[in-house]
Amino acid sequence: MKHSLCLFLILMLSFTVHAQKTGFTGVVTDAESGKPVPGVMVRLLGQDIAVFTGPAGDFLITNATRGKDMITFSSAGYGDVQKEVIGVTDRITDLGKIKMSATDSPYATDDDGLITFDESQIDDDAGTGQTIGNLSGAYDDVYLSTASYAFGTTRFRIRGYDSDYTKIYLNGINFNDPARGQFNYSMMGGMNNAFRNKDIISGIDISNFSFGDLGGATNITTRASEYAPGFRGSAAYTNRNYQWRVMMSYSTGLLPSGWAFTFNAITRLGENGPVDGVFYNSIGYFLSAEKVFNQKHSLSVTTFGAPTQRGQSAATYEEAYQLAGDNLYNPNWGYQQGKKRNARVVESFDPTAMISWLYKPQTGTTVSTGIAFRHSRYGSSALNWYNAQDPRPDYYRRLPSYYSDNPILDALYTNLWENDEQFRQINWDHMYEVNYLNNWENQNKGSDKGSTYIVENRFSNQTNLFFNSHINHRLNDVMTLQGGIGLKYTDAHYYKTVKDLMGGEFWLDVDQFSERDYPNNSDILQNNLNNPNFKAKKGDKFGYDYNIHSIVGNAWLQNNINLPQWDIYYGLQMAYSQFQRFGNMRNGRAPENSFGKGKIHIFNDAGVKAGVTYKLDGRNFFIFNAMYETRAPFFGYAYISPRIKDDIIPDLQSERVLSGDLTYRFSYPRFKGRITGFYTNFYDQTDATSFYHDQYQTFVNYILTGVRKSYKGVEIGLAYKITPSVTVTGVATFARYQYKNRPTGITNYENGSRADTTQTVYLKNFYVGGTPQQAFNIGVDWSAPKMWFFDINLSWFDKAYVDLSPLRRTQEAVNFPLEGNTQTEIMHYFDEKAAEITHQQKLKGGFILNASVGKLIYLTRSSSLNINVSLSNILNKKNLQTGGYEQGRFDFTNFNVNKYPNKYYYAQGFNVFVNVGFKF
Amino acid sequence: MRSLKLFIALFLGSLLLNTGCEPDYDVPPITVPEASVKANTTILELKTEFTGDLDSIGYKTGTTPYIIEGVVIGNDVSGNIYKNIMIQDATAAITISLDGTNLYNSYRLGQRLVINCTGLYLGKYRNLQQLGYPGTSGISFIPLPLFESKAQLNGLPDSPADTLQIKISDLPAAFPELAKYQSQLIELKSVYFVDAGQPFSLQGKSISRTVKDTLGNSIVVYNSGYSNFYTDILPSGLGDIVGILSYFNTGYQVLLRSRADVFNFNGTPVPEPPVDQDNSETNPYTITQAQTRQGETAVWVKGYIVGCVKNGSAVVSDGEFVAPFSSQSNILLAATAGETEIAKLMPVQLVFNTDPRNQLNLKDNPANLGKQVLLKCDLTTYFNVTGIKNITEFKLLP
Repeated sequence: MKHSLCLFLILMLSFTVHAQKTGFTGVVTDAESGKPVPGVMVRLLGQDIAVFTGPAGDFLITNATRGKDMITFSSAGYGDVQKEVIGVTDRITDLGKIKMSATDSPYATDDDGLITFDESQIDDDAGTGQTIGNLSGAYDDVYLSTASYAFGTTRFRIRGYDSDYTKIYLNGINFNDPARGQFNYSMMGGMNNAFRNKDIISGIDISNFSFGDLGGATNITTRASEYAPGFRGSAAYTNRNYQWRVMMSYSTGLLPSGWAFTFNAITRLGENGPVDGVFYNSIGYFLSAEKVFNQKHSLSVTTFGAPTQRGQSAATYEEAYQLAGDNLYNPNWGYQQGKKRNARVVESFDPTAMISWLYKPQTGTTVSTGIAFRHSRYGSSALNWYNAQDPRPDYYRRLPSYYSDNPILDALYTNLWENDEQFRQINWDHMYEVNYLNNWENQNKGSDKGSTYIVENRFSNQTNLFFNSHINHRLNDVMTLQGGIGLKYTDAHYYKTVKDLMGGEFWLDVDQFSERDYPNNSDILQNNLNNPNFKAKKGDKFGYDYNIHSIVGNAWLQNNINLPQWDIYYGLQMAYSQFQRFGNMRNGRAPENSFGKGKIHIFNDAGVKAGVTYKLDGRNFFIFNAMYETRAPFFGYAYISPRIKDDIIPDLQSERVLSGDLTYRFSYPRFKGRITGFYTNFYDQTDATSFYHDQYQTFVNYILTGVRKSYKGVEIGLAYKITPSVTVTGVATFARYQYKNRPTGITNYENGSRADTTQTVYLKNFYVGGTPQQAFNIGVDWSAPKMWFFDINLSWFDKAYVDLSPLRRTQEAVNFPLEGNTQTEIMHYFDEKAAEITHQQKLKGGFILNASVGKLIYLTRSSSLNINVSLSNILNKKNLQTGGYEQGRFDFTNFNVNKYPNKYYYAQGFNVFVNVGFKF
Repeated sequence: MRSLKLFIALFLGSLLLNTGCEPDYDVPPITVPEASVKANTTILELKTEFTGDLDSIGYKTGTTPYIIEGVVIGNDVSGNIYKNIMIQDATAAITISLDGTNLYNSYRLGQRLVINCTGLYLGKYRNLQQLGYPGTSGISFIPLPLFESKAQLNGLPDSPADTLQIKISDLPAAFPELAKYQSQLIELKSVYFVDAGQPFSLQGKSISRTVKDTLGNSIVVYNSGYSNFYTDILPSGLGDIVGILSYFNTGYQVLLRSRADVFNFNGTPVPEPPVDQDNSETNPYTITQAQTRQGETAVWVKGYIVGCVKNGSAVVSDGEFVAPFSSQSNILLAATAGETEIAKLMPVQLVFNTDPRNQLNLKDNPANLGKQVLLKCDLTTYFNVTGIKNITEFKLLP
């Protein structure tokens, strides 16, 4: 399939469309950003000929007559450009770049650090930061630009899609994680200046660099010649995840020699921030060099990375927040010798290098080819313990609610939680004491004990080689062709090491949970039969160690037709993916199915996409897009328990997606906006979660297969200029994201102590959790005289739900003993209790008020200073829940839903971001 | 170029700003714990002063609390003992009920503990005296954080334990002597497992294994199905057993702390003492013997009353072993008091309006529980198992 697609591409290219015609060609770009402007009407006034620029901003007129004429370029939001031209017989005159200036200044710009958004607001671990993809650059779309920053704190996801449905490209190279599909924003290290040149495609609109995806696609350009020359620096203070940020960048612009360079550096640090125990240490570098050889060729080399170390916070029970009297209570830390120590520390570093070649054989034809190498290292630490009490302070047996049937104990634990900080945080010193006593017994009683408590580091590293090439080619006056191929090779390596023995001598590498179930089988509890009873020292690998190799390739082709009243496009994508596990340990629970090469799994997929725009006039547009595709499962979700063995989810298959959206867009000088209705169905989705099962003392993997979901809603974004300097914006989302069938659930016990069970999960019409399904924002923007800038935004969000635990929607979960004396009473009892068990909690929503003030001071003609203060959550609302989930466990003994209560995240109260920047 | 130099200078400067990595935490020093208070009460004094089922321990005098000190002699290191530790001083030992698992990490064998008992409770659970805290009914577990605030470690876990060498027949049957023996660390020399060859226990279940000395005196070793040695096989022959002398309802049970508490077994099977052929009032069948002699009539049988099958049921697995009892029509006999294992129980039919029913049934005579009884009767199937019917003579033994 790939071959035929390539052949097709070559055939199309071989058409020489320019022969024996008279006319003009050129590329229309934005005067400020340098980006191509699609959809511009290009008219030869004297001949009444009109064409439209394609997705790459290019146009072609071939049916002109010779002689002088006026050519005009017009597009809503831009000032008209007029040029006198002379047509030459049998020649297509290249007009080169035509620059158009926007009539209204971009809605939000980070050009001078004025944008209020900063990625410090995003929890890097949530992995759901799709909104950031549309950050600071969604100039022309009121909805996207507002939603991406005004809803930032609420974990709002555009159209509710998971982040793996948004594709992020750097110089045309796709960087979405092959394991789980999402783009890892933290690899960019917060260097906004380095990654600011973006092409953003919203939803399933047409894109000129990719087939696109449900949640849109973004291409970030890092070619050095595209950065404005000069030095920029900024220093910022905030009371969010970190406190201090110093950033600087220097760009040469395109030098006469054809070279261009740009450098960026950043450092971010924080300790003792608003969340106890959280710290942040990060530096970042970015270097890019480009050589423009001539009009046709340029080559660019970019390398960047951001080694980061940060202490994390964790979601916990509502009860724990209340007892601690703080919605930012963090159970992850405790005092060690008087110093706060966080048990959950993430260390990450993703050094990346890429080379991209831009080839423009003729106006209207661009080939962009790139190759990237990345090695990412991600370690996340956690406590581990061996036959000991769970040392985590919010362990459910330490909470008063566990003793709710005994008022004395309830009061005792409540008092400890409320008044004893030592009790509600980790007791490091105690863990050291236990390890020391083990050492003492080894010396004095001849025992052979390792550490009872350790800190382990769980690594998920990747080595990637990415290749992408795409072409934009104009076929004739109305048609352009886009196509491309992509290839990703990945070697992912998962293992854990001993980070800190905490005073002990070693860590015994056996599975203590199996030890309990199989006391007489010393083989089964081995994590590595090739190295049984291994005594791991600091830095040694233990527990699990495996690689997954994956190859993913795709090819796509798209035809775009721009007519006076209609724009039409259609495209096709073919994709191939394969992955294979390589075990580096022979696990005692799967001795024949864990070590060495595993099975190869192959998936073939396809997608089709089409769209049509009806242009009522130059200001009113009706757009309809539709897409159908199949998507291979990501290998990160394909295995049942990859730490143990090479088994994938039974009947694993590609999911299917059907999506459509209908938009009315208008653009008047003072009033612009759009209304979009969207409808998306997902079929045959697979979902895997895992949790620790207290009662069975093992990790349990819970897999849902054949999941059907439906996402539908309306997006509205309006901007109205009251005066030339005051703009009011209104943005709204009404949506509903729901499960639509009863999928099959599989419970798998990782230590094999129980056979897998399969049951029907009654999920129909429950909500997809994790993102507000209704959100509104009203904002006022004032560009005041003397370079003052003010904006104020009031947002309201609601209808976000906790992430579901499938187990609570099974027949077993409502198979509780019935109470009542009459049949009516019994039925009533059943209904009430079943409703309680299956109830899906709605997160607490509400209003958030944000505002920012900026001031730009020109020091000289070319140097300036800017100061920006942005205030978030001014009403200091601390009870807004930004996320939550039901626990995987369920109390099948007493059917008490409160035994394993939900865990929640809360929004931070009032917080500020102060930035001072300068440039020259 | 000037800008580039500035950039580099500032970049290097900012690197210095950033300390760059997780701070090195001070490793806590190795300290030998030392208790800040001293004992003023012996364990025996405490046990004899508070003898109720749930006694609150107040102040000794004025504001002086009761403080005891002891060495840990039993804990949950193998999982065979659950939510309990036992400590010992020169006078006696005591079981402490704690609401926690993996207690052995803090309370290791040989660890001296000084405990301020005031504010805690002393009571009896199934007749085992223990330090605890009120639960939903009677004495129960002390919340761990409360105990941690009351108990101080004193020194490293290097204190030797006194092991009481004792014969089964020398064990006293009732309080107050019981107070001295309950929870003590004992050693039984030259005993054997009746069920040698069987595992210590079964997964998730608790099983009583009878141990006998060469004189035929027996005691129960109570094994948990959650221990790390429950699948091990009970050794055969004569050997020695060390364990905590615990108590349940009316009888002793030995709790092993780990597999190492069973040792020196010689592997030579010990035959059950031969049954004397002339069954008589002075030489009655034991229950174990009676179970193998079904069909014999008018024989003498001796056994302990351990419970009854609940009213309305006809299966032995519906046994009731603690008051209140619901049935007048049967009792359950066993070779040892406190026995609850179904296979070792023999149901006895008590016919309506006869002396045996009136005097033996547990519903009306709960005090009979644990007593020995001598019967002249027929050995015949009852409740589908080997049972006893047609009592013609009976004697309750003191």
